[in-house]
Amino acid sequence: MSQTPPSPPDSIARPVDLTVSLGRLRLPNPVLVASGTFGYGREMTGFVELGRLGGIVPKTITPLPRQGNVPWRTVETSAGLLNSIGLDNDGVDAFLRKQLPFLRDCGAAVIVSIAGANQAEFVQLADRLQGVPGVAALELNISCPNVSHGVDLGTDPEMCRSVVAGVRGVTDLPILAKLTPNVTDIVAIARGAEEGGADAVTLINTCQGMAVDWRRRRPLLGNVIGGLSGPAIKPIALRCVHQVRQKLAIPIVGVGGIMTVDDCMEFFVAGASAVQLGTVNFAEPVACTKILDALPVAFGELGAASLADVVGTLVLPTRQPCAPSPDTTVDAR
Amino acid sequence: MAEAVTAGASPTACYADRAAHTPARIVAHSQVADSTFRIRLDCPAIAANAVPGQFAMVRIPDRNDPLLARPLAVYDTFAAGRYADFIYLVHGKFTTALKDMSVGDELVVWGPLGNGFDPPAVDHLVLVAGGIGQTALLALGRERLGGATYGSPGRVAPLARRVTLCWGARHAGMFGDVDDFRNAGIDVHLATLDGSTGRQGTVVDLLNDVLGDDGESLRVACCGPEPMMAAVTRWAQSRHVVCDVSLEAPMACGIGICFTCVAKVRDAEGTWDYRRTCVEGPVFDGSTIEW
Repeated sequence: MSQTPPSPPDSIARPVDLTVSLGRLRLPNPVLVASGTFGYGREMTGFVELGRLGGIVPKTITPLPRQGNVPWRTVETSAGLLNSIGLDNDGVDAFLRKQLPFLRDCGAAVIVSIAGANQAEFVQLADRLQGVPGVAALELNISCPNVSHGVDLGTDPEMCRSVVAGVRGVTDLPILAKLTPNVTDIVAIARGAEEGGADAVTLINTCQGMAVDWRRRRPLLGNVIGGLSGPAIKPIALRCVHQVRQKLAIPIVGVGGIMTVDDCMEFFVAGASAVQLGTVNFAEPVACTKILDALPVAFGELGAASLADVVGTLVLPTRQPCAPSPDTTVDAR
Repeated sequence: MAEAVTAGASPTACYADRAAHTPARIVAHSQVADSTFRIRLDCPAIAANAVPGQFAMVRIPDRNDPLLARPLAVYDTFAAGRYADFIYLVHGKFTTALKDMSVGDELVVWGPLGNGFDPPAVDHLVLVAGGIGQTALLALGRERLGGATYGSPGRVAPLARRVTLCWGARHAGMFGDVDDFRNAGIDVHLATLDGSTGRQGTVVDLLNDVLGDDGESLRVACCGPEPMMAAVTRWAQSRHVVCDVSLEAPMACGIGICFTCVAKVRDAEGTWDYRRTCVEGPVFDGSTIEW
């Protein structure tokens, strides 16, 4: 970007309006934590003041308890983390009994992440959570790479639309559809979510990957293939946010590899109205606080008085990108 | 840990509520055995509160590669709870980077974490280590011989009449700072697979040599590779002795949020479920583990 930022770089951060609306979901600030990276919130009370968060997405729940996948469940790779936890959870009943009472009173909006094996299970879960005090919204995990057995609801626009629409039919809660990047056209899937009635799309879930121990000729993950998260996937997430923002009006929650306030700002500028912090919670459990503290200063640097002054303000080159012509290629000769 | 989980009790939800997250300067760092280093960190918030068998997550700050912290057992604490020592074996990306860090460099640490060891009163406490597993055991031995107290306020622990260490490794070069155990009054026995020092064989061979049947009440505290801990648990069961094991599962967070470090733990009905070793362990009654 060659544009000069509008400048009042006073070093003192001025008050910034960080409130954000994701469809019908209104949040005090755009910094959320991602499903599967924050336990059920209670685990983090020693590290983060939960009430400061824009929202908490607890670990995904399913209709029935799941033991999850065999270890090893995670492997660190270059600037990333591969996981195949396999939605280890105690099921919706245990969640409502054991986890929600704490979350309800923690001071942050609770966006319950749900996953079903098919549309009927998503609808069943949404129905169960409808009207439950303390649930601010639902996030549909239609993209977990570790549990689909051939049928991946998040890789087909019509299936995505149908799952969202089914849930929409039984709940008044705001719906976030969390999408997988492991598709050819992320915009088509996001359009399916929008047409199904989602309030926002969460971009992105993990990128499928694997790790190999060549000496033992074995995969390192117990489940062989898993999902890659962490700084390694941030460019992929930014690309997905950008592509969807260019074509659709639906609000976007950006997630993928955010480690710092600068990463958050990149997502806002690219078009995300809110962000989720994920793997960084493992690497640095106090990261949420550091980022929340730094946010007003970063907004001040852009002379922005509100989140709206930043979201989707990416300035593109006037000429649309195309393949380099031969005469600009260094080794054309 | 607010309440330590009693090894073998029904699993209770646990939280890292007493953990501190803090920068920690390296105050000493040296090699103590083959590929094995000892590092002393200035981290009072952790050192003052750690009890035997607990661990801390240690991270090289502001790096994306290695990205995550690693769990290291608190080996011992010094200077009235200001310093904590850790001993680690270099075997991957993180430990390779860690060994190149110098005195004065700063790490980020959070802990103390996990339940730790807290065996009841026994005549004879037997520490069984495999490989680098001794790191989880020294503090327990010192505590039970009355040589040190740990935690804040200092934990009142029942004393043992004697403490024995049976430590097995591949070869003689793998034993570092054995005198820490001897100086604490612990009766030390070593075994190596190649016979380069001590008894040639495994720690189970060593246990059979060292422990007669003299009517003392016994309890085993064990840490090492999983097959070794399974074998020691079987040995203990054959002698009707309780064996507490400290599981060395890979961890990504250490505080219960990632569900990486699970182990198959049996409940009273005999059915197993995956339990997080970071917050529900790392110490379990070995007889409850589905090895």
